[in-house]
Amino acid sequence: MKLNRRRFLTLSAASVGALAFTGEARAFRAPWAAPQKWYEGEVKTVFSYCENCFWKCGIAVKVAGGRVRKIDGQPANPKSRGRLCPRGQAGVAQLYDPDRLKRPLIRIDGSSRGDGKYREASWEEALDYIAERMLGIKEKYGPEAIAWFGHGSGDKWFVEYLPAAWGSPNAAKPAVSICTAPRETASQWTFGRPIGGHEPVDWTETRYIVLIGHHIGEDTHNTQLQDFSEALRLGAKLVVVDPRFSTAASKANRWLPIKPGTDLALLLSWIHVLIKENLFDREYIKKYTVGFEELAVHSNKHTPEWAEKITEIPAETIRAVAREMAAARPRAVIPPGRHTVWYGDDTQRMRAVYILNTLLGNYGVPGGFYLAKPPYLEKYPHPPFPLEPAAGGCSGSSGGEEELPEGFKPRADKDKFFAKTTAIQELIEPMLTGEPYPIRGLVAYGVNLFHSIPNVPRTKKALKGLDLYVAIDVLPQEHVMWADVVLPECTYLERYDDLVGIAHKTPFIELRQPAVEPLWDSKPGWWIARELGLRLGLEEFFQWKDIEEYLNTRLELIGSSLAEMKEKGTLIQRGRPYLKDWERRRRNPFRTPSRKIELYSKTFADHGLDPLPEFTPPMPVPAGFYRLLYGRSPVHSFAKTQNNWILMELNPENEVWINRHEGEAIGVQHGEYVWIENDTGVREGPVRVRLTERIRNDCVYLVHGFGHKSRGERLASGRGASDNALQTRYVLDPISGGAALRNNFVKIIKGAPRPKHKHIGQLARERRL
Amino acid sequence: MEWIGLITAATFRSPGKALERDLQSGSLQSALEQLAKQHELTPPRLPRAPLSELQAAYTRLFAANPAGLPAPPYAAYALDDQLMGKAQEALEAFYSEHGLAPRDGWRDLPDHLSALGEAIALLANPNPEAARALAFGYLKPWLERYVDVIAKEDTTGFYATVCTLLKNVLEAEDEAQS
Repeated sequence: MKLNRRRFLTLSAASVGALAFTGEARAFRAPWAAPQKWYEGEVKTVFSYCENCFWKCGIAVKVAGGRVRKIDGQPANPKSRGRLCPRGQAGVAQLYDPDRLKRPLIRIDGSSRGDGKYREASWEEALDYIAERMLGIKEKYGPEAIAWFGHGSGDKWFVEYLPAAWGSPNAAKPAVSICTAPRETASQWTFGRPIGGHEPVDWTETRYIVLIGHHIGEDTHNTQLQDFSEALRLGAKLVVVDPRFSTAASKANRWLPIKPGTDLALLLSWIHVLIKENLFDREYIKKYTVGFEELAVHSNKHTPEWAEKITEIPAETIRAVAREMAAARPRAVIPPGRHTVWYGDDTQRMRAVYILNTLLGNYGVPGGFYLAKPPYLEKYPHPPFPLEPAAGGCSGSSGGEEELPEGFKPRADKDKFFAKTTAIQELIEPMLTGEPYPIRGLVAYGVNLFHSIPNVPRTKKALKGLDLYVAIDVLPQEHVMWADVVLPECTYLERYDDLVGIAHKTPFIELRQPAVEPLWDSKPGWWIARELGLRLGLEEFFQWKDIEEYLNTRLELIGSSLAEMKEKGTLIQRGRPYLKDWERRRRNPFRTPSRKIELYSKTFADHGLDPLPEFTPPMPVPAGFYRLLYGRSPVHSFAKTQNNWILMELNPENEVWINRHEGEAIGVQHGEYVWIENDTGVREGPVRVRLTERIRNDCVYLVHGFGHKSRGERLASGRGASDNALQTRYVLDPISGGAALRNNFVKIIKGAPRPKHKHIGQLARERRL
Repeated sequence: MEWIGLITAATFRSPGKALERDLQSGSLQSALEQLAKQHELTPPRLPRAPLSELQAAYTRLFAANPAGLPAPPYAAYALDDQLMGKAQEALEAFYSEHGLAPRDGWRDLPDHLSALGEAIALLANPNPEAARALAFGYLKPWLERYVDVIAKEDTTGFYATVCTLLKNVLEAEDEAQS
């Protein structure tokens, strides 16, 4: 067959439609002209906020020639104050990561979940496919049979807006039951207020800080770290309680290497000393609290000598620290920390933290906790959702009675624990057992299922049995490539999200807006949610035609506008940080049943829970094993950033910390590669050994987030060991629903091969970064 | 050069009805044969694969693969390993200098091989030197880097066949010129 090329071009697959003649040829540049530096030309600055951790720093994105060139902090933003951490600055590498998901994918018929066999699809086909199956599941089982998991700022659409409109209470975030649930539940039932995403510690006013297993300096929450450093510069004394000599411990006046799992005993003994030695703030207790008498009786038995036997911290040290903190009160503080799901008694431990702070008279007082106030911001005026969002959040609601509208089922994890926010790990079981009712579909937005939820084999088994699994993400993480439909979201630098209101000393609202157009055929979450909502028959909740209209409507309701926010980036309001500010207005900040700080919780007693914290020993470590502890790297966020060139050059793998003497006793050497195996036989690694005096001999430590298995993330794949893979066991906190993860035990297996990875620096140089 | 551009554009576009038509009608096979004959090469025979298999292979090779993408279909990326890097900026400048610009509806990068193929085809008649510069400056390095990978990873044989021919043709052209 003799072909005519014109005809072939017109009719065939060669007619791509990518390019066209514009009729204007630009003049050739003189070959000798020096290339212009991006910052020498026109540079546009776009205000937004960061997504590379969840501190939500205000950023100023520098755009030149249609490309993001640099990311700085927004000077006027209270979360960044013009500064950014390495993760914030490295956002450019995420935007231009060649491994990103580029267009919707549908799993090939006949392949199994986990095979990774896909075909590209249009957005219309992919969304129609999802909607048809979701409606089928709803028809057969009810709306609650779809679960919604989400992580990150954009998860609002997928764990709050859409599930509430759709009618499923089974929406959950790892940020709750695998992170903050105990501290939030405890705070709600002690103070009647949340802690919130920006911990309201009055760092720069304090003079004595006691950190208990706190990651500060290792999680690099920007302004928290700035304020902590400033507090130390101003002379605040620091005590660090941690089985590991952490970064914070290296700055401390005292390091208390506590036996893992015994923190509550230490806290109770400090409470004992403050009360028995009459060192507490009597006036504050009288004015603001209930239950002191019960607490005083309860604490009789918690002597420092009792605690010494449990914690391995000398009684005299316990007494000395209690006296020091009392001497500094009310400018002494025990911050709540963030990841608080440790041993299973976590809400009670956090209650003890708050009771101790209260005895110091520091809640709502300079140098203690300030009273964070959320900014004034109205919701978009859509009709009421049939259900209230149940996922919660860093500052989500966390306890109390639930009212369920007629015709809807309660959460599938209800009755397993006291709090009313969902526990993500408890929604896996109904997928497998159908009890208390079946969950047959899952929409996962930005949550790394295999690096956050304990018991990965169970999660994989559950995914295999679902009728529908949809993943919405930026990168092809391992769990993403198990989905029936993969929807590529654009990065935070290419999209709008909903407004974020930060409860703070000075409350403020931040705008996320696109700095550049989305690459490939990726789409923003709001667009995906809206298009899916329309296909699911939820038009009444999506009457806004696009996100700009949605945002502008919300902002106009508070006297601002999208135009103003685009220009300013951050809208700061006035706060009411101290009790005296509330009292001046005759307002009561404590939203507890008694309207006071509840040292003794009658509500807990009424529900069969300990009304005062009581120490229960943690699961014992089996002979021959170590307790697995885990933490953070200052240049990575969870398991989200290990495919980022810039950050991986700074920290390319994790190491297993082993006490030096212990390591020598079991015959491992510093720098060698080993396997880590847990007591159920799950093996991880190879991972490099770090022999150090900076950790006790009864535990080992890993930085979380490494050990990715997906080779689709070429940098992340196979580097280090995954703590999450080793966490096949958790203890459920019966109050908060938190999954206590420090109940996993591992041993070290010698003989692992040294991984044959190229050095990141070498890869980076080859890539001419 | 026009055939090289047309075949490149047709091959690296996400496979759909148009490609299925080209295969069923024999027009793509015919195009390959004509291109091979022009360069005194043995015409390859395109393997027969159903559209669904081609779609799966395309996705696995060029779009998303849990085992790592074997051959990212970006010509500039193959040169400097940078997405939106210097080589891509140079390519965009080249397009612009020759009066070409990405269309509004194009949802990919300008150095995607199907866009590059289209550019070569569009420039082949009005500006053969420019088409040649694109073919040798961008397409040939990509083929040299990835043709063996594709031969190994392509379960349909379709992409391996076309890529091998394109590489051989460009080498023959190069040889003829020198």
